[in-house]
Amino acid sequence: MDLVSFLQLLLSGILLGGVYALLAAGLALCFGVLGLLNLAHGSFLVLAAYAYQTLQAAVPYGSALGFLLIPCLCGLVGFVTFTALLGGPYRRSPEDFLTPALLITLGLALVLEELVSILWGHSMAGVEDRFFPIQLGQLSLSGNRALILIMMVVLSAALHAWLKHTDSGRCLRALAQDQLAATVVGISPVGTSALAFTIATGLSAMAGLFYVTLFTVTPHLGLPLTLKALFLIVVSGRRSVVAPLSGGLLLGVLETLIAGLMGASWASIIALTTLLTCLCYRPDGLFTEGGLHKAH
Amino acid sequence: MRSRTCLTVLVVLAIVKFLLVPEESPSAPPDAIRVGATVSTTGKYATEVGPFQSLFEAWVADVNQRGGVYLRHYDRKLPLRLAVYDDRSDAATARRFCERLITVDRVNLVFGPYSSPLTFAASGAAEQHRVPFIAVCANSPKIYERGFHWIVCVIDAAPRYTYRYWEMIQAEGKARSVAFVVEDSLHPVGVYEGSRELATRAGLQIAAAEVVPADTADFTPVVLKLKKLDPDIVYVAANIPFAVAFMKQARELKLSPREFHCIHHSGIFRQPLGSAAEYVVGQSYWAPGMRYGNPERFLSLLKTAGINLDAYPWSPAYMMAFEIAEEALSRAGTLDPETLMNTLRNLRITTLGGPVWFAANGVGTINAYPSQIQKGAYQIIWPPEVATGRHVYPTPAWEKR
Repeated sequence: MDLVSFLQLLLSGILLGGVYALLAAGLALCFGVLGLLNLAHGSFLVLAAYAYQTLQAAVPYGSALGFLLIPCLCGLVGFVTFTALLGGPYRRSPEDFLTPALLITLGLALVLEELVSILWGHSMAGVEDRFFPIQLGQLSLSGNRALILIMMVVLSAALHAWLKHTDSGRCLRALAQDQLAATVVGISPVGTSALAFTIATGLSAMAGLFYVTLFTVTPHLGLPLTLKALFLIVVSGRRSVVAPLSGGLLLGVLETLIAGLMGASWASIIALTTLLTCLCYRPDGLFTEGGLHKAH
Repeated sequence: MRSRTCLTVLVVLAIVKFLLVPEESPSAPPDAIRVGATVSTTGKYATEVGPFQSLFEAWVADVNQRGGVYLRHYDRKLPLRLAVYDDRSDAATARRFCERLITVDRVNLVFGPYSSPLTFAASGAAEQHRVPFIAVCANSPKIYERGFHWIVCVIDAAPRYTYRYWEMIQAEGKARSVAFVVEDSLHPVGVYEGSRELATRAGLQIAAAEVVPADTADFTPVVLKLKKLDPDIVYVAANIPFAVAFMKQARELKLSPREFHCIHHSGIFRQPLGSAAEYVVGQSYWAPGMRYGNPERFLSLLKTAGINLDAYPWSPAYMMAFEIAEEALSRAGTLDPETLMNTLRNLRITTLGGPVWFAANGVGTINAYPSQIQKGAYQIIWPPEVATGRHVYPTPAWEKR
């Protein structure tokens, strides 16, 4: 393999890592920090993707409007969802919240799936990628994927800074570390968790907007995407919002290089086996505290 | 006491009536022709055929509006009565509902579900109960290698899916080499295997054959390889999600063969690709401008059913199945299963997609036509007697699309 091909593969792998990180961002915040496994993560992504397609086709400047409106609206839906459905069980038994949350979000995922089927029929959603490729000498760079990667770096840094340097972020971390102690010092568990869930849902929606410009989306794609994101979080380390970016980059580069060297059919299996083998030595994830870097 | 006596008398009378009244004579005319189908209203195939229950209903309503189908054995027109179940895109469910259609709904004719795996399962029930079964979109040869008597299929077998395209390439004599990019799943691999043989027979050099996992998110390694090989044709044997993702990256990485061929390139392929879909060649069962059958009736049924041809490219195949069923019923003139099945097997008619007849194993002759996306519309480009437009080869550069 010549140098240009190798660099092109490396570059594409890094960009693919950005896509993986984007998929996992919302779920990482919910699961990693809040301890809530939101099985409706992928369904919010799908809902946002369909809404974006409709808005983009129906309204002038629909793309820009979609990026401004849809994450905010989905965040709002997330807030209402948490308050109406998850707040009660969380208040009653915060320490045993995982099981009811799983059931409720699974139900929510199925409802959202049906809602999308009813509203948009069964046809696939897909949006034309309007970013032109960037040419760097002999290397081509997908404009859309580059934007995703830049956004993910900025977003991860922003989330990290929010959790570390703001009051609400500190409240959330305190809640994640010791719920009882956090409540004793006056932190509202439901309010703080609702805020995290709102942001996480907004992130899922943002992922949907980008995802639908790269790939196609069907109403039933929600749960498979959630599982994919969950795998990445487990491998990267669930106690950090930055870890999915690192894990995504590693997985993306591994997959692309292996596909280039050995053929596409080997890429996923070897990359995943490598990561799972690493997990045997670092069961808390590759990029958590005590791992390659400190989380938060 | 009195009420008990009355009840006993009623029960005895009911039993006597049951025993004495003779069973309906087999020759007594039935009140309707019962047809049944399973449709993937939910599940993974819903994106392909989700709203097709409406298409069945529109067809039945259309036939019944004309009084039904004339069956000479009963010397009357009988209306169609439809039973449809959602098979949830699941083979076991399709089989179960096919059994139900035959044993509970007592249908005279079953239309197969969408896809080869579901049809493989469901057709077993029809064979077991000896009921005519019309497979619609199920072209895996495995279905027809079992020696079943009670099945016919509208479309030709998967390996021949693109034979007209290779005929055209050979006749034009412009392309010399082809590289295959294949989604690693049942139908695309089946089409690829047949196409590879047809391409070789057409005199093309096989530059590469990359079988890639269905959930591939990055095609850079494949695209780089193809750029080096520079084949005349890049032939993408894949379902639409895979093909869309590949074409997007092909454009980003400036892969520029003389022609892209994507075996499925309907409206849901075209829409997310925009100008990148221009000049892509694929397969269509029907396109506006073709003169076979009764296109006006087809378009009217689509309108009634609220189905967009661009989004549901399999709808013409269903229309052909309806035409076959109507004609077979009419020619058989009876609902006797054996007569109806023999009529189906010996049928030779011209449908919306062209002439159809069935091989000994039940496989039909309807095959897709090569079509090219030109200015957002589909033009059939081969054979000349069916073509609605001219084949543009080589494809203009990306910037000029």
